[in-house]
Amino acid sequence: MNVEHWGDSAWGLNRGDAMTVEANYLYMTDNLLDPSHVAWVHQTSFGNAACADDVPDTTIADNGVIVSRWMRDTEPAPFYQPFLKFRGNCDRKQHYEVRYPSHAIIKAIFVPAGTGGDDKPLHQDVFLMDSYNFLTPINENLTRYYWFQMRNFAPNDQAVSAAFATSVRTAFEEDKAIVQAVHRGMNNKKSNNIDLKIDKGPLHFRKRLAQMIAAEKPTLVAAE
Amino acid sequence: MTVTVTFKTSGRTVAWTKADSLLAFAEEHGIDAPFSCGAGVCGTCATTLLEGDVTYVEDPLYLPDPGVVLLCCTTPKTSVVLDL
Repeated sequence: MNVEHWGDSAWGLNRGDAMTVEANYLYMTDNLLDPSHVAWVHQTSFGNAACADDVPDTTIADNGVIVSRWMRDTEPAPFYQPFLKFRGNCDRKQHYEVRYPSHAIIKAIFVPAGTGGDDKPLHQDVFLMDSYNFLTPINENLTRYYWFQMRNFAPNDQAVSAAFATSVRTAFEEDKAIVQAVHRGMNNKKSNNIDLKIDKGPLHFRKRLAQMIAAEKPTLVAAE
Repeated sequence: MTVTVTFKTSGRTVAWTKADSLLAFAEEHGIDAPFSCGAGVCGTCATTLLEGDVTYVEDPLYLPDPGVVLLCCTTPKTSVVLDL
């Protein structure tokens, strides 16, 4: 796997951490491929109300699914605010990419309001953070979750790395609480499941992954 | 050549005019079509295509059985007759 900016002296690295989540790993991929969760799950960290609004674009790629969107002229979420080089509102891009079988790259872009867009060069004060996330299933009901982050500022600042490490862990604890509750709820559901438009990215990921797993099975039988 | 959409159960034939999908078109003409997600995910709008052919303008999660179309993801390629 290629990690962009790895070894780039202008970029900082948060070496990251790990946790065990009492849930099937596919509830984690569901969570990552629904950026609106940021509005509800991460109210004190990555998110704010703006994250509930715009419908994201879903891109089906050969190696995974990407759900992304630009949010225009919004207040920076609390997690990012102290690290931004500019004041005032921002244009923010959320890029959630989950690759088969189960790793995720989350890219965050913050630029001054009015300067963002895929067709525009990045503003000189741009904040970039790429989060690499690895979901390793232990069994049907347990997942070991590992991560690290790359950032385009404060390359050797241990205090920034430490602040990131703490904040990211806190935010991922928020995911853990929700995903574990989803796992318990889905295992005890009392009514039919209803899939919505917003579920398209996560469901496509599950469908393709199931096909890939099924395609491996004859090989396994032959090897026995 | 005019492309028409026939809603057989409702007994109406309407000339196709540009719409996002057959579902949107049916709604514009007051035809009640069942739907939920509007994005090819849930399958609620699956309808039997009695005649004609459609184009998928949005990729659904799963393609329906032969002879069945997802109204929310399709537009008519030829004149169509829908069991609706």
